[in-house]
Amino acid sequence: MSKIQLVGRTHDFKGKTLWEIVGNLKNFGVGRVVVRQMFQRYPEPSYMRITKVEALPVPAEGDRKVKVWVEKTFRGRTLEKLVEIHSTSYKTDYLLIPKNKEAEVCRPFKLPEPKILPQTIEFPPLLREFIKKETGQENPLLTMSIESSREKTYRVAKDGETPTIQVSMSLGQPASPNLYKHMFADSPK
Amino acid sequence: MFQTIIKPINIAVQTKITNTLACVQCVQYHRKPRWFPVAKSKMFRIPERPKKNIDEYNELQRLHKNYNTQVRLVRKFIMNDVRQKQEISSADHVIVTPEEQVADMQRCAELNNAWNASIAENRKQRLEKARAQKHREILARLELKIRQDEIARKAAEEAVRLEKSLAKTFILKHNLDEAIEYALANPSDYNFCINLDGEILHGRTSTNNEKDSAVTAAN
Repeated sequence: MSKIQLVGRTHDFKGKTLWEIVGNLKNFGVGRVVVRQMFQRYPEPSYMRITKVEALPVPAEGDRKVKVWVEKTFRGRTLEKLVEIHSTSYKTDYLLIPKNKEAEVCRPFKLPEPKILPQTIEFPPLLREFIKKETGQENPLLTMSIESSREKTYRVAKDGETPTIQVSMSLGQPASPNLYKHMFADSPK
Repeated sequence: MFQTIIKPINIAVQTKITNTLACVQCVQYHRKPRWFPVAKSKMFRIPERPKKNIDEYNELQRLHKNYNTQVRLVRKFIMNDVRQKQEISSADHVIVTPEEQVADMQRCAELNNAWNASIAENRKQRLEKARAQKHREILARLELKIRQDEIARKAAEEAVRLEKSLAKTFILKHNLDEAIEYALANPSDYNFCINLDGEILHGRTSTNNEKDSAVTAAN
């Protein structure tokens, strides 16, 4: 059999639209598990269990959308509220998980401790000098603040807590020290 | 055509940057727009998918996150700083006493009145000028109307005179019989022919040319 080689623009999606999946299932696939192929790049389990489906009229052009409410688990964390998928349901990136593989995909996962950021970090060098001159403080520090979000897995350290992540104005601790081994004689190991 | 245009430029460029000619690079002027079709030569090319180096990716992610955090914090710090300074300082709102306010109001009113007066004077002059112009225009129109009426009256008189002169020859009831008699007595014949000598011979039936022509002339 000859090999089929596709030609043209490429994208990273792999799978079907959500309607292609739920439209072919008994009871529109309520209770079944679907995943987004793009989110399988994370080591933690990410999957969605369908709880309710609402079909939508066929559009004049383009892919057919569908309204689906799911119990969403993203990177091992199950969200408290149901999530409505509508505007992204046209993406050809959904995969249906066969029933015999559901246990494997929906494996229990122990959430790691949230990353803890320091309460304060140092100023950039020039700004620090200005502030020193203006206020006379010996070592002025920037107060850390983060935007709250559904997906955030980190928080600012409380009083007396030791931060697990260092945010510094210098290079800091490299994630991949081997990238720097030719640059510094005393590279971090 | 292009050569003629480009040539002087090239000479100028050469003379100017002879020493640095090695640094001159020819770059494409612009990219192919996105909506253009794929070039025929590239139609069946299979581009290689970029391969991600996981070490580099992790390190870049860390650096980006660090950088974003730092910039956000510095921005917030500066915004807070500016806000605090604005609250404390009185540089941007000037304190005035009621007397000063009244004096300022007075000054503004005087300025405004003077301004209004000058504008009123201008307006008066402009309106007077416009009125005089209008007067002249109306007079001119009246004169024109009189002239046109005179011409029309003369034309009408001329027409009446012409009609009166024509009325003398009209055939009316009382001279109808005479006119018929006269017409029967003097038939007109407008037919004529020309002989080889160019002589005009009037009349179709009559051979008496002179008589016919006399009759025609009388009619």
